[in-house]
Amino acid sequence: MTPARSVPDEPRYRIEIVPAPDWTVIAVAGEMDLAVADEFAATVRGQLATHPVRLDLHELSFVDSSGVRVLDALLRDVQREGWTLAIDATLQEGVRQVLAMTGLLAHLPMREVDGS
Amino acid sequence: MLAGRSKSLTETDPARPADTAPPLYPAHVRYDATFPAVPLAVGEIRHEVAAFARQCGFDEPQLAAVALAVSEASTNAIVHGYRGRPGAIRVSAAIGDGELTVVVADDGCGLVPRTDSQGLGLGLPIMASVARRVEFVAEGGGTQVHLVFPCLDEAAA
Repeated sequence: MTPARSVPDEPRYRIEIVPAPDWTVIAVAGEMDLAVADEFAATVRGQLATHPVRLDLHELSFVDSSGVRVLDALLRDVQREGWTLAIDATLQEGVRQVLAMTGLLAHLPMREVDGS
Repeated sequence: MLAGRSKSLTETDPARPADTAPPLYPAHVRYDATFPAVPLAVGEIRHEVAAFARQCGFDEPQLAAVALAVSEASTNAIVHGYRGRPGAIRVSAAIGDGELTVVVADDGCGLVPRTDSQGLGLGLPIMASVARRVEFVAEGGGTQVHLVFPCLDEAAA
């Protein structure tokens, strides 16, 4: 068997929490897959427990079923706990396609970015 | 879709002399690598196979399909094949008969139903949505996922 290739130490992913008066904005950039999905969900869940959260995913360039799985779980938590979550409607086409393909897009609380 | 045991889909074409002009989809080019079955490998495998497909002339929408399906197959190997235990994921890709075939293979516990399954069972339908064909092959104790994508001229035909 060929020797195993090395893998990077860091994921191609960045998450930033920006506190704001009315919302906590959580901005995610890069690629969401198995390596980061649970960490992403834990970060968002931690904020949702105390603040309304706006997810800014416009710099998210890739998502697969790992990301869909945690977004779906977050939605269920939001409904059960009565938390407030909005997702900016600016999504990259590939991300939008995966969310649409899996049926999740229709259930996401999308928010037009120019709205209040 | 679950094809059970079958022979490998891939064929290795004999090497051609380097001084011949490369065809649009060079059939002699092949990608092979082995990765540790860890979550950070998913992105690396996805990028490596997409880079190979780009070399073979795939365009952006095709590359997105390849990257997505490969990501799902690699995730399956880690989550369902090895169930988080250490292991190796063998990845190969080759062009033949107007198609790109990617094989993601593990030596995990095989296609075993599990009641503690994580997630929503999304990986398989996603692969089926974006690949021309998906085949699961029980090989030894592990699983091979064969993902087949049409080359551009085939896709347009």
